[in-house]
Amino acid sequence: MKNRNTLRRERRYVRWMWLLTLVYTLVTFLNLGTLRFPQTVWSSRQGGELVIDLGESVYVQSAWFNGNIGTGTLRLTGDDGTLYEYNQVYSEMFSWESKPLGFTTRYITLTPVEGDVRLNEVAFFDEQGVLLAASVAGWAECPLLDEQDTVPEASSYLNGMYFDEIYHARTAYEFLHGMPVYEWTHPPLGKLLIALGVTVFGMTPFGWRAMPALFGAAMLPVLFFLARRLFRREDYAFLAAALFAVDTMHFTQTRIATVDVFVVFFILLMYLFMLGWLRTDFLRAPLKKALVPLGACGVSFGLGVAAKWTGLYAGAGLAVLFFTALIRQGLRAGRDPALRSLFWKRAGVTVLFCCGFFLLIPALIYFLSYIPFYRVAAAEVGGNYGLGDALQTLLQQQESMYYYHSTLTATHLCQSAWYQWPFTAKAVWFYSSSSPETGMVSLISSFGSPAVWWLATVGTLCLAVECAFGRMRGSVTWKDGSVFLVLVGVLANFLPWTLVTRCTFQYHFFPTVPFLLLAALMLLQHLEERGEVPAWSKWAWLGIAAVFFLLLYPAASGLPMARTYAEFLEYVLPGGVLFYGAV
Amino acid sequence: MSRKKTVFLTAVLAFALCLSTVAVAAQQPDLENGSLTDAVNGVPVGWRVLSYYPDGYSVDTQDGTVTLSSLEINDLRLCQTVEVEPETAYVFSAEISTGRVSGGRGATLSIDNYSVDGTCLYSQSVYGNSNWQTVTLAFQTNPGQEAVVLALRLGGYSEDSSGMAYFRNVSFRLATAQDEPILSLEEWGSQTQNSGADGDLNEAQEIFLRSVFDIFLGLTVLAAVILFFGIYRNRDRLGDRSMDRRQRRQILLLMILVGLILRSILCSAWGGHDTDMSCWKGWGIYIADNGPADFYTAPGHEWYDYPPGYMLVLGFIVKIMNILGISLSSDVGTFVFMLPAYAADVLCAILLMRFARERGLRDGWQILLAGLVVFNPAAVVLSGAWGQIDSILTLFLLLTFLQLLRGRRIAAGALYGAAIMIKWQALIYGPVLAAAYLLSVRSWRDLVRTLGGVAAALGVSFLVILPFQGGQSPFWIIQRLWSAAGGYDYASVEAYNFQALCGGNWAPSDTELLWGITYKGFGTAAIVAAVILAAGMLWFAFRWDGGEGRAVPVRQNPAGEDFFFSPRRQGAVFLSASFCMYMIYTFGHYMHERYVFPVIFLLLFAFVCYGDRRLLACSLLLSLAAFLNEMCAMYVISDLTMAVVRSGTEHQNMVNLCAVLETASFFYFCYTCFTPDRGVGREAVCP
Repeated sequence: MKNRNTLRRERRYVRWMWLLTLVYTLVTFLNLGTLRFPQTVWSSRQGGELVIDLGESVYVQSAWFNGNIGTGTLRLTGDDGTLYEYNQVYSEMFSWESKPLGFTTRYITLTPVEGDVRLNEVAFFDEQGVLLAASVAGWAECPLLDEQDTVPEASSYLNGMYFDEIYHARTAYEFLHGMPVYEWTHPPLGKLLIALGVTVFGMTPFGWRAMPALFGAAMLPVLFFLARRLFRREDYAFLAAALFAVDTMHFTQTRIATVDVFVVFFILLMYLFMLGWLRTDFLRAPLKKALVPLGACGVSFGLGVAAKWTGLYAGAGLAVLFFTALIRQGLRAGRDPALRSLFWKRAGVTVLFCCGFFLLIPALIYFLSYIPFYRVAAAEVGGNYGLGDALQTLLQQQESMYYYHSTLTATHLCQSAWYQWPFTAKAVWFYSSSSPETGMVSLISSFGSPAVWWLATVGTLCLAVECAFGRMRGSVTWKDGSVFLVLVGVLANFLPWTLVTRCTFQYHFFPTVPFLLLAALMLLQHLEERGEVPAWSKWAWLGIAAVFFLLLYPAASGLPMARTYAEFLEYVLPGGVLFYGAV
Repeated sequence: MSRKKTVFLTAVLAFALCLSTVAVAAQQPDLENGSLTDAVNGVPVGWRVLSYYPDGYSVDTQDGTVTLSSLEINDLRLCQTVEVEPETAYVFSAEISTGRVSGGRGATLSIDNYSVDGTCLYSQSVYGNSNWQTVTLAFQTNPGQEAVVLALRLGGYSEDSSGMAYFRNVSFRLATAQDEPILSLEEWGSQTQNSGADGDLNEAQEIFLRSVFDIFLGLTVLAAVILFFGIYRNRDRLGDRSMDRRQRRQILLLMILVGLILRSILCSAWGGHDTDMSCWKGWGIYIADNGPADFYTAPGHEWYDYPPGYMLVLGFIVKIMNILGISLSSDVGTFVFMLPAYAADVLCAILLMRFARERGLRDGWQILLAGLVVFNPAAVVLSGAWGQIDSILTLFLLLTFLQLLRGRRIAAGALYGAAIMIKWQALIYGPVLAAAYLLSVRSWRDLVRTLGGVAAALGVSFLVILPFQGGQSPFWIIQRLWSAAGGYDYASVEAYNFQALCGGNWAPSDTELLWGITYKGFGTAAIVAAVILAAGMLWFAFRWDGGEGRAVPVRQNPAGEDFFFSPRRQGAVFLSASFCMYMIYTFGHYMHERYVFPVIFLLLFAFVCYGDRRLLACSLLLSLAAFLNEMCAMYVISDLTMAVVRSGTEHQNMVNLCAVLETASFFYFCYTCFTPDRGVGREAVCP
């Protein structure tokens, strides 16, 4: 019998986990992005020329354009006839782009030349970089100049989009405004969730990053509960959550408005629920009670796939777990006729139930997630848009999505292959800017913490070897199938990538990381229980990982740092290429 | 025009040219349209646009600001050729501002003379979103240089970037005393060594080639986990099995078969080391066709640096293949040339197994040790992927030592002669062997037999050399040896050891290492120290064991064979031989990556003698270091990939990592040698 004190001591970690989640949430929301961002839009199609009055004749060094979704050309003319042509390109939106003007004038005339230039705001600066007061005569609330208080001191990731946000966050905006959808290479649920944040906090950097950050924080409790069920020990469960919290990829990847965070969250959720079903006694527990977690698992699976297709890989792992469990139960029933008939009855019901919850309901979720697309299509054709048309729209989208991913041949500076991921060979470089005045650089790269990934990878390999040598057989985690579940989780999320031919990135390893962590911790627990490793070693690992997180925090968060420090991170600290020689 | 007139006019022109040169030398260079005010179709007058990829970019000029923008990564540049004076310092400067510039070189000012004379230079890079800043590039022109191509640049060679780069107020002038450190225009080729092959490889191939080191690292980690966490940790469970003779033989046969299949897969995937394989084949064909007499003297054969022993084997292989009708160029033909090395691996395994049995190790241990030889990652790479013959050298060395331990001095001498004729590196073991011979002399008969051993070594060498004699001077083989010894005058030739860690990989051996000491000087001292230490080890072992250097009684062992040496002395022979080679490899100069290979097996023999688990760990550690080293070296030296790979930091990182591993493993070995075993020792491996 387990000592009651021990149990109580292990229970304590739930509180620690909630504290961890709270602290992590505060850290992740710190410097996430600004809430002060121009909201009103001016379109060059709104009417002919626009004359901006600067009050007096001044030298205009530069203009900052905060674009909305549009492309085209706008001509800026000074008093003396000097011209500047502003070309709005698709990649410059929802961020402050500085353009050199360099003429002295009082009035600036904006003339639309071609296309539709759509701007949230414009700001003019003199030689000293001082914001010039500007207005439009007779139009006090001109959307171009009505939110001058949102103009930041300097353009950065805090007040603009970076990396793939120009696809995903942009599309969230399009969903909300019923505009044609730009990003269709991933299913829409992730962008719908981003849109939820935008609805609450407005189309601001904070708004489009709020939901990913929230889901990133919510992963920690989910991982904790998953680990607690696997390990049957709270200290290891807490460790899993804590190590994931101090992993730099988890941090960076959940602070940017892309969809990977959602699929990883739902993958964790589906394995949590699947484990719930695996832990119920198939032949004895009430059937209804057993089916609840299975249903929840199916719903999570549907949500995951509707966020990104990689959810399907994880789903294949679920199928392996489900059917092996079923076969094991069948064997367990043995030749006893009563048990056998009970088994067949229950197996039949369960499989039927799964057809509903792993095929029909996910299909429904997937179908519903495309509603913004149907809205646009319906608006195009007018009133006559029925279910059949919706299905056709859906099918078309799937075809183009599949075609896009299967024929993509483009190469990328930051691409890396599956065998490079576990050792964090090449980071994905998200953002960089430098300030020559202060000599500081601000960089964001998405990469795994070497202190987490390297050890987790080696630990997982060791776990596999330990299993192969038959040394896990005595342990509880082997007997209750935890080892099997974790290894299936690793393989299901990782192995498919060995076959993918398009260019791949290190963040494609993100869904595998929690399982890798769990596997390494499982080995550590096994070694600790055998007395081969002292109990403090797990805390030492967390300590090292935490130190690495602190050291790498600027590179993961974009916090301005001295160039020499960036050089230290790039060239001295282990962990592969972070900034591609940019420091 | 008469000839006189032509001469006169030429003279006048030449004079005028000289004068003008003198006059221009003091003048500022002539940059056209540095203010970037005049532009046609967005391109400033006097400048031209160059890009690596033909589309996806735009160039625009407005009011003295030129914008280079590229949504996709590219090497985009705006160039102007300007006349300059040779050996003169200039300053190229402009104001740069950037928007979303990422990847590669970023926005720079550059001297893009690559297409003219192979030189290239960049200023500091500007990335991301940045405000206007003045960037300067001060440089010195080369002797004889008449023009430079100035470039406002987004990206660089093999360093493509994307984003928007703005330039304005471009100037180009003579440097003054106040200007920052002046760079010399370097040969671009010397910076990267990749000019030739780069163009032939497409981007995807290059990405793959650059990532191969990560595969090697991954494989090494995998091997480390299996060797240490799997086998080393479970050694007692694995070794503690008893089986009968038939079972043992079945397992051995199975291992040999699996080892063969593994190597055939590697061979078909890699096809052997290009140069070495073509050497084997070419030499074999020559000897099979023309006989050995003029093998070393025929035109073009002057550089052949292998001793003649294995040449005879090669000739024999080709003859057999001709009879069987196997094509030399086929995959099977390549694999046949790898088979002798694999046969040597297998024989080493059998020798080790037998030795372990004689020393009373359990059946499981015998099989385990044989498996560690047959499936040793370092051996698998050499005799499977590369096709090198270090296993054969190892086999002959082991046979030499084993014969000596049995007191068969003359046979040992003959085998050592053969080993030298296989590879010159056998000579490195000479001092240890000599010490073992001399320390074990206990009677006049032993002394006579020792002399007999020397005579046998010389005799076997003579017999092997004889067919190759032809019309050469009697001492030609000595000349070959010296030319081979100094053939690669580098501190390290892809041997990732301590010298490579200090930067000695492919560095000329007379480069200074520290405080005026050259690599060669340091290496020579280390070699002398290694020989003295190894001989000293042997001397101490003999003194402590036998008492005052006298021999112990011959020991009767379970297999009924007589050993001339006591168990500890046997171990000492293997240990000091390992130590000598290990230390020479770690700190010596002229080392190649494979010289350390025999030590892996020697350590396993020493482990059998002492039963000290740390020796097993040393052998495994060294296997891993050698494995990674061999793969990287094989990959880097093979001609197709060399240029791209050698230029990268990936290669240097791998050299450093591997060198640290190797050097650390040597220190661990030293610790093992000079401290008593506190573990269970012999009891763990013997029944």
